[in-house]
Amino acid sequence: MTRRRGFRGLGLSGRFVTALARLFPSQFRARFGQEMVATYLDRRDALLDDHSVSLSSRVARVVGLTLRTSVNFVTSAVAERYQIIRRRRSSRRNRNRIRKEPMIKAFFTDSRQALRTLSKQPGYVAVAVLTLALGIGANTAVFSVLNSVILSPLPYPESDRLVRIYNSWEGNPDFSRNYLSGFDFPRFRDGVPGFETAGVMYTYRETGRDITGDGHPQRVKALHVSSGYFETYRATPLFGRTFTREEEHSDSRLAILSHRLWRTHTNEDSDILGKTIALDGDAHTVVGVMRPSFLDVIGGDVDLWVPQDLQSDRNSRGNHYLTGIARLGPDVTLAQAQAQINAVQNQLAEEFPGSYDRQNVDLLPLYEDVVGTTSSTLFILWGAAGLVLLIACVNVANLSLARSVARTKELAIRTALGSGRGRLVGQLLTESVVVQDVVGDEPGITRPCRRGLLRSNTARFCHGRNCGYRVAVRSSSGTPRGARSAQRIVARRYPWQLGYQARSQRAQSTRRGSGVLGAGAVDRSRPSDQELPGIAATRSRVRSRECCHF
Amino acid sequence: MSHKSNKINDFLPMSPLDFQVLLLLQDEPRHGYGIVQAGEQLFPSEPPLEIGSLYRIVARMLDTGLILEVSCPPDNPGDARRRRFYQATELGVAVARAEAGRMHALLDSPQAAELLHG
Repeated sequence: MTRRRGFRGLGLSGRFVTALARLFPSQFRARFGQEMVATYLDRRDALLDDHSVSLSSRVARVVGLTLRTSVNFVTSAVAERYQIIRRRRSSRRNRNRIRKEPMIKAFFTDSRQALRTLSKQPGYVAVAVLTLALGIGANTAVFSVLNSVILSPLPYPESDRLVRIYNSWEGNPDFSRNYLSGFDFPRFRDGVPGFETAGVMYTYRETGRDITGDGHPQRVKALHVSSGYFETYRATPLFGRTFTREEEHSDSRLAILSHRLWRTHTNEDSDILGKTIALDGDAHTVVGVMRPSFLDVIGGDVDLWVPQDLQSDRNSRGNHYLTGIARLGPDVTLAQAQAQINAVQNQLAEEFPGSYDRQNVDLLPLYEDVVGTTSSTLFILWGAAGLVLLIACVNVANLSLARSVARTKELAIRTALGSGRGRLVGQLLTESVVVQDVVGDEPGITRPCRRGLLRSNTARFCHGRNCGYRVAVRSSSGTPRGARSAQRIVARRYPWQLGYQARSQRAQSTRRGSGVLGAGAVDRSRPSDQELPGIAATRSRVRSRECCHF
Repeated sequence: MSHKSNKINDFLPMSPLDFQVLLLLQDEPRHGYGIVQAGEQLFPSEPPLEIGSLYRIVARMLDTGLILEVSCPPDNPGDARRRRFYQATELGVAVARAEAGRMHALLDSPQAAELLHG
């Protein structure tokens, strides 16, 4: 802004407004900046020249005008800049609409081209697919376990109300999580009102039994459980019933079959209830068959359940061998239940002085008990699998890079014929995605990798979260590889390389006594369109069609 | 004619500030400060035109051909500051007339009359 003569100078307020005018976009400022400041100065001078009011009033008016103008300059400058951005975006969109073919059409064209190209390079495809299959398979396998063990809740209704009952000895870390005795558990079960249900199982998990009698003898896994065991898990039998308290004694010759045993041993006998099976030579009456979906996360996968004897252990306070679980009442907190069971424990200590010294009873949420320190181990394993995938991606990216170097001439010719960088980048990315899809969509490729790593039925591959993760891993591992090759295109190397290659060819041809391309194309390392008349003409022809397919 | 009316309709309805500036420039050329001054005199009930907003409107109207820059009128008192004068074009006058007609039609309705006169 130039300083004007014959009027008041810019002054402090004028300089301030002049500085604020710099907020406008440069083009707008060049058109109207000087005039805007002049208009402000006119208004300011008019206020100052109004001698009908006092000097202080005039100064106040000028301050008010300056403030209003400043705020208006800021808001107008922002609005003008935003307007310019919108205009640019709009014009870019219009330009793209005219020059480019629809994205979906370009994708299909690129996909067809990618399939044609890749079919001619089976070696590259095989190596890339196998490398990625290993990385993706390992990743999804570990994630499947992670999902089943940590991310998903326990497979029981309202599993957050399930707790594990531990007996612990103060000052003895070896017994910080000890089992329950057959004497204590019934007292806890009856004395803690916060327990909706409670049950125990024989700590040493399943015990081997032999089924004899009809047919071939069979070795099965049996688990001793108390009444309330199935109810705590809220597991209902497919048919029949569970055990009652009256049956918790050593003379009970009852059995509940797993669905698997019922299917394999009894051939799905629907009249199995009330019949007997011989376990280690003793006849046990079948009172129920469990559903196939029932799985005990503590007791493991067993074939049948038999009643746990709690009657003969009434006086055995020192024998701790029972694993206790309980389900808290709907509105009972862990702290409330803990306080109640502590009260029972104190009562026992008073009844039997010396027997319960330094002993406590602890309640632990079942999820925390099951997952425990496994979570950190699994997360570390997941990270390791991620690194394997990263290494696989880097290897395949190097492979792609080497391949793109070999395709320099092809890409240079495409560039010279008018194919835009965006289109070439898109094609390379599409090729990566196609390889990725071959890996991901072919179960025969990744499934053996996953199955080899994981032989547990706890991981469900078809779970929604697992599938989502697999798709995400697949996509994220495909794009960077293509991007690495595409980076070469973004660096605008191909026209130069065309010249370089043409020069090399000319040198070879000259040695052989014949030229390959026009002289202009081979004399410089960076040939221009004028120097490559054939290519320039082709490019202009292609551009006149406003889109091109290569 | 139809083409012209279509072009006029593209500008309608106008924002109050745009309409105000176009009204002020339809009969005589004015510079920026002149527009502000005239606005304060002719539309005392309207909020004063702020300079940033005014020149954004001027820029837009110049680009769309509603106003144009004219040379300094001979009767203008000379001053030391360089002035740029603007005046409404034929299109600008036509657009202002169309906008006035549109508003008049709105105000002429019985509902508007009831609002204005009780």
